[in-house]
Amino acid sequence: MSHVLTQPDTEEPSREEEPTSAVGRGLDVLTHWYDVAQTWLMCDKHSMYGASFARILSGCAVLGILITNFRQRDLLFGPGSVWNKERADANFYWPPDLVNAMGSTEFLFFYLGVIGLAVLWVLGWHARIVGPLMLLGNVAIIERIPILGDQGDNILRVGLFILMFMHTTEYWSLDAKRRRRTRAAQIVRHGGSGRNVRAVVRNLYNSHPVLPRWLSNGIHNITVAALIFQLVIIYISAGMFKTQGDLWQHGTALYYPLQLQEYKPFPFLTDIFTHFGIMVGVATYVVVFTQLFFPLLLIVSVATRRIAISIVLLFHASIAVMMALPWFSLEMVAFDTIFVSGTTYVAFGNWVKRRGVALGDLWYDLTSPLRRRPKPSRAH
Amino acid sequence: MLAVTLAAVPTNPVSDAASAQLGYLRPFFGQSWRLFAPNPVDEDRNLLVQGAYIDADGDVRTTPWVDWTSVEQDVIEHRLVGGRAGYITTKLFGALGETFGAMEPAQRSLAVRTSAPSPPSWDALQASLTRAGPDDGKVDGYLRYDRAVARLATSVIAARSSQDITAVRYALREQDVVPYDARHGTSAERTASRPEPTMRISGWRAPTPGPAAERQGVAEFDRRHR
Repeated sequence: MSHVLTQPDTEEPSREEEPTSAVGRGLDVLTHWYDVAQTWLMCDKHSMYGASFARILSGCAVLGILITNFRQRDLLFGPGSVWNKERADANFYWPPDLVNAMGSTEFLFFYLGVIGLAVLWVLGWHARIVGPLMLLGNVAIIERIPILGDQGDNILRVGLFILMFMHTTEYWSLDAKRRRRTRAAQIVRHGGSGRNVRAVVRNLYNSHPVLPRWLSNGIHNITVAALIFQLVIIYISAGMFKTQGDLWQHGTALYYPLQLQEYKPFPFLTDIFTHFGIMVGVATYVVVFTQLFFPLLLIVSVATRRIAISIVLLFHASIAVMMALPWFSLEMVAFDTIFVSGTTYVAFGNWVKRRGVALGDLWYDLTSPLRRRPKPSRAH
Repeated sequence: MLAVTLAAVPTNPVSDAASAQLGYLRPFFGQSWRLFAPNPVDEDRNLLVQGAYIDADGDVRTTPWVDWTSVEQDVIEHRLVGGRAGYITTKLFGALGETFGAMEPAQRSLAVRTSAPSPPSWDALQASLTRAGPDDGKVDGYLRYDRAVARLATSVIAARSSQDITAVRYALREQDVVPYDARHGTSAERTASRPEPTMRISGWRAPTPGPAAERQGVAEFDRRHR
């Protein structure tokens, strides 16, 4: 751990005193980056705002899919599915075995149970226990007949799995509230093992840290890196596939999927967009290039990162509305939150709060004959 | 990370060389990011189903075709959230065509030439298909999808017709979307600009009823969305 605490700057003078060979200088550079990497990995947890927000959005995506398909649940995933027998023979996952033998009623309770778990996951209630159970339940339902799913399900499954190793309840969660309300039980070195086990269990239950800080930081940060990597790979490979296609090169590719009956819920909206060839062309190229250069845009500067994230958000919003695929979009966006810095979240939170105060005032003004305003004066 | 990369990007010499080692990623980390690439689908794909019955004179008659894909898509049209039930046959369409196309020509013609009044049992069909060509799992792959559609067709036709059905079959209809250059026309012009649809019609299959929950589910869905 001494490496972590040593600032490379403090070594500078001694290094300049005696000239070093090329090998020595190379080793210095290596040590420097080793220190940087180790500091990044173990000293602090990164992207905790992003991880917390990803928890909320991914939970909303699970909720959205399950609730909006509630009425057709039996037909799609349950005992009424035409494909269940055929696909069960060729199934790739063990979790769906949990629901394979269920009748309508059992499946209904299972389905409602997973919805309940997703609500708790959004609220951040005992996320360490609720999260894995929700993931398992979700995979059992959604992946029972994988061919009916879309790529959004893939990123949800992989992304949620990665989130399970992250600290996702630092903000906006009931776990965080409980952590503030309770105190971590101390582990005493010679306090007797029974007492210490009880302390660990209590800390686990109250969502206090259990692992040594360097280890929990390391796990969190490695999985943050894994999630970022996974997302970057998605964008790059999606971009590479597109560059292979003539229509993407011609700049007309976006026109075609939008013409398909299943992706045209509001034909007039689609017609407005496709009416202007320039719009189709620009949008097609922007999609291809943003995907291809996504990682580059992320690291060049804060400005390019914001541009890249804005474009990604914009095109997922368009997919959600124009193609009636809101959950696919949300599944994709849920994990992109990891790219947004903490500062932005704080600024955004403050903005929402300010608007919230105004909205609250409006509410009290509108309902003033009915209720008394609790805070008679505003801050400014 | 390297493994995920190789599994995700388009196939190349490196990923070909490593493909044997990448099996462990599937299913959980399985992913495909083609997403309308290299070239997006540019045709509407509909699955239609039909039944056959013997009328009072002893002649073989067929029910009207039911465009089941259109029925399904009622849960998408004019909705902010496209219900998943709206995509079932669209998603299976590709697999139905591919598994059929993967068989030998002799097997394909056997699969199509079956009788409406007395279709073969599934076992008989499987036996004759495997006799006509190599038994390398392709027949099983085809029959898995074929049987599922026969089950769906049986439920749909049962919900629509009171006749005593002797056989069911399905059709895969493909029609190109309005050409890009014709997109400015009026609605009638745009419809006229689309090329004629093509239909591949399956052989007749024995009615294959699924469990009660499935038949009721399909009937209820049909009632609500036809």
